[in-house]
Amino acid sequence: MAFGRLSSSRKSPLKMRALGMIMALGIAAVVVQTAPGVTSALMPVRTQAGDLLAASPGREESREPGLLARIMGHGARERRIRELEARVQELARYEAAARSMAARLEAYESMLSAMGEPPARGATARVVSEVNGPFSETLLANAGRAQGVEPDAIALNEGGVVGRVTHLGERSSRILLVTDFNSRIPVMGENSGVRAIVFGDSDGLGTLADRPEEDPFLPGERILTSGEGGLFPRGYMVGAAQMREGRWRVAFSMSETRGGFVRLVPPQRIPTPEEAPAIHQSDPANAIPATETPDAEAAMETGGEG
Amino acid sequence: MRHKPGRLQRIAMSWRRTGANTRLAVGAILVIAGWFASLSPFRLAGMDLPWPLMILVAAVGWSRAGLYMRPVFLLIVLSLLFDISTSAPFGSYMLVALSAYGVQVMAQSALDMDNGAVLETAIPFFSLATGILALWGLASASSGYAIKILPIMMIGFATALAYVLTAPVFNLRTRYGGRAVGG
Repeated sequence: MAFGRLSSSRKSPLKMRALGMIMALGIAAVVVQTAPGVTSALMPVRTQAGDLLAASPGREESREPGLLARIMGHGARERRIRELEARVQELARYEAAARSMAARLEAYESMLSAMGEPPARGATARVVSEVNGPFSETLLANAGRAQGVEPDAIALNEGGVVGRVTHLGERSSRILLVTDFNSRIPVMGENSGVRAIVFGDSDGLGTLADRPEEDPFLPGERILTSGEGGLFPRGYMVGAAQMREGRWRVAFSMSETRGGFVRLVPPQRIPTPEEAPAIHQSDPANAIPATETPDAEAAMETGGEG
Repeated sequence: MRHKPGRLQRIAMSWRRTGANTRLAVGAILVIAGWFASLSPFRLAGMDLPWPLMILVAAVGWSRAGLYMRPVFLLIVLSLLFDISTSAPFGSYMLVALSAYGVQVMAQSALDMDNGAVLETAIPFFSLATGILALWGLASASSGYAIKILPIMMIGFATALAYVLTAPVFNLRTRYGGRAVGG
């Protein structure tokens, strides 16, 4: 039999001694590991063993789940978590870069005394109804003047510009969609810088017209609001440029993500010098507290391009 | 007319015919399965319950056949899994398992086991208690303070229960009703 050749403890005290020696070695091993140097030397072994359990070794790129997860049947979930973790790490790098760029931009604007874009304000509203009738393409949102929505407010969703408030009620707003033929938005190519006016068309795409320059857009480049005309603030995403049948068209980005909510931000208003004349602070007669000059304050806030 | 054996009886009969190596392999698989299970929490009715220490069950179960080096080496190898998963110093679970193994073997050698059913039943639990005590001692020594006894006792109870349920799997006495092979 399997252990027939071996003798038991009764017949061989040698084995008991061997067992005792093994235990003594074990005790010595445990004692030796109390030394920091030994503990740190063994750390990679433990780490690799832990990695083997938690994640397959050498497969970091493929984001494969670990042995344990696969045995427990959590493989798909673990894989998804790893993908999302990688995505978060990637986005964190972008966030850091964006923060750095924003800080530099702020510093440059400060050095140049340049007026930046106004801070984001507005109200978020739920889309109550969507009308795509023969007359106009509009949305009805459940926020109005009572919620702080202003006339001609800009409607945005996760994708970009949705439209503009054309009728403002006390508790509701009607938004003319960018896909409507009557909608006119001054836009520009993000990379090419080519300016145009975009309006909706029957096929759901926008048409880029009234281009002052003859230069073409870059295929696939982002189309942003140019801020010209003094209504839409500059830099809001409208869509992506594409050439269709010899014409430059825009695939509206707002159509890709319709979550049922819109953000209604105040339009860009730059008062004329006549509307908001400069005030000479040195003259005590004209020294009006800043809180009493909302137009001037708004002018300071909304200054810049456009 | 002869009664046809049922499925369980057939399994029991085939288990009696299996050799010591097969039994060792099956026991090792059970220990690994228990170790895997212990990597996830065991909750029952909102309570955190301890997993049994299968390496200790194996040590006591295998030692009942006497002192053989193959189970000892297998215990040393399997104990490394427990060392890694619990962040214990390497060799800790080996000492726990071998202390129980050694106590069982020495008790069997010293006492007359042939005519003592009580001893036959009591000594494995005494060996398990020795292993649990060794675990407490090692954990306390490596932590630098006396760790709580209640969680260790809970592990001991779970291990004892697992031993009662799985003892036949770790029995290396391959001759039914006889003495240990080679013993």
